[in-house]
Amino acid sequence: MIMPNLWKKLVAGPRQESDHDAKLLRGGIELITPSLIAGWAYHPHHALSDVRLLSGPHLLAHGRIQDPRPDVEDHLRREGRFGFQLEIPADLPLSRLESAPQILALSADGSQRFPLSYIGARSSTQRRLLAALDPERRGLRGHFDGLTPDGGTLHGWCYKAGEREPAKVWLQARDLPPRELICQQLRPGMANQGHVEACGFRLAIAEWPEAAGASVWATFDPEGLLRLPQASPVQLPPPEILEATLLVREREPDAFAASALGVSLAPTERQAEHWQALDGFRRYLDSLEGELDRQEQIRLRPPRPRSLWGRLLGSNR
Amino acid sequence: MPLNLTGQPLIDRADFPELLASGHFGRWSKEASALHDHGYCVLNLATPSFLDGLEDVIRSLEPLLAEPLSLWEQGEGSPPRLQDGWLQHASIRGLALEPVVLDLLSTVYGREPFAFQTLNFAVGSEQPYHSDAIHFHSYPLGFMCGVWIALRDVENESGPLIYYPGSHRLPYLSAQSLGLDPVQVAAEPHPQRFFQDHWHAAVQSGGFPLTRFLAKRGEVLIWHANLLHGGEPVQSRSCRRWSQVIHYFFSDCLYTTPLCSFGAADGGPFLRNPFDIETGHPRYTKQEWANLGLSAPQRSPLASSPSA
Repeated sequence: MIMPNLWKKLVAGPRQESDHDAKLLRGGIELITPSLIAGWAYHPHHALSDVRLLSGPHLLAHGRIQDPRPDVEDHLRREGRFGFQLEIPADLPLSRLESAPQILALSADGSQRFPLSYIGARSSTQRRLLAALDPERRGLRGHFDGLTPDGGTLHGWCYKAGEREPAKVWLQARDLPPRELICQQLRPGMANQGHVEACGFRLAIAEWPEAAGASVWATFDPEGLLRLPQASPVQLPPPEILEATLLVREREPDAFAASALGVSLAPTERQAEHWQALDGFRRYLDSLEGELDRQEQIRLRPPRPRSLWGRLLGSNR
Repeated sequence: MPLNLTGQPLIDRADFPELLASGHFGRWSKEASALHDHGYCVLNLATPSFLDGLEDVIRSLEPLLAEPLSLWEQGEGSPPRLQDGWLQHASIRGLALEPVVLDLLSTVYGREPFAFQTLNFAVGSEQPYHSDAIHFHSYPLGFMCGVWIALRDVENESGPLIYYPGSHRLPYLSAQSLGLDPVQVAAEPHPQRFFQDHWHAAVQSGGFPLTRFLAKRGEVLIWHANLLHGGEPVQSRSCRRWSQVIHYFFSDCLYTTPLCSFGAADGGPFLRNPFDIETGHPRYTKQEWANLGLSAPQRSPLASSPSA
């Protein structure tokens, strides 16, 4: 009698080979947004050249695996262009997709096809792709800029070209409900780069005290499947710092409101008085420190040789 | 029917010069260049058999259009025409499926063409100049074109076909791109009017030259989906301008009516399931259509179709 596992192997011989080949694929999808999918792919036995977004038999978008990725080259310890970016067409007229979408990496002749998964959460790949291709969301683009230079506000931008209604994003932190934000604040200069100007979002961190100390990010969807690109991780200040910020907010509501709106912070009259007093105190501390230094110098000075009279009279002088 | 919703017609591609230099277009290189550069090309198909076919078409049309032509000559009504005469007349259908035209289109667009509509005229259409791409278009963009065949020589007084070479490179427009909403469009009997000012301004600022097509019998004008074209006013109502227009789509696309396409909040794009004149059936079966996520095939909401 043939053992079931052996029988499976005999029957599915070529598929085993194919599975083995698939297991050798390195890389995957790193970013899924409603306008862009990006990642990298490498196979030791097949030169991969194309990447395709399919829904069932339908080809929705395609791109080339040709972007330089020095980090991947370091990781693989080989030279090549392993990166890819795939644009999701904003004007794709399909209202819903016939079947679950997938991303394939293809060899140059198209004979080898390897499904790509979302790196770090492979089982969620299709859910993320479906979320990105949702007609309500398709074509949204944006960026999470993190904290403003004064550290008081989270900000970024998001919009969908050709839409009258402003886009929405959701700020996320582990174990906290998402914070919905509407992207309609002016971002001067965005139009010069071919974007919409009224597309900014902002949230003063004091408005989200429960997220103090947490790592935060922004997503295109409330479920948190589609992250906005961001340059680096964003960590909110710990509770004690946030508390201090809240205190400032309580005492200086005007200044805080200005900070939250991104207006340049000119000192209020009361702040100026505080700063003047602090400066006086600093000058006092400087003078005190100078006096201590002088005393120390005196203490360390070598003793003078005793005079003749002193020696004769037995004095210490 | 796997859709390929990517890419562009070969004549619109950025690497068109390289494709041309590589000999990709073969015997249609001159026509491909003209379509790429100017948005149209002209063929002369005046072989005896082809010309016989043209006469067959006129013989089919004469009894059908006799009464409206008589009214037209008396100054009543609009220029008579016959839409989708291919359904009744094999000669009209045969002209729509002319193999030479299909071969050219297949080569220069890079996908298989299929004829989906015919229009026949006995006189000039007098239609204001327009882009067909607001009435019928494709996704991906550009996979649509028009073909105009002179059934007889065209005289100057008959209101010849006019066009603006180079205007095919203007941006594609839709109701959404003009910020129109469904209520506005539904309330306007001739929604093409919403676009007219835009085209006038584009022609003025772009400096596109007005060109007349005083065609000889058997000459064929093929134009790009976005080329601005129309019919000059008819100077003599007794003067005939026998012609046939055929509109073509290309395979594996989705087909739209941009004039009725809005943002997602207002209903999204208006998809259509065009006829394939060769098979005599809609391009997609009911099941295929349903699989695309559409409840029922949509029909063009327009009272009239564009023509030249």
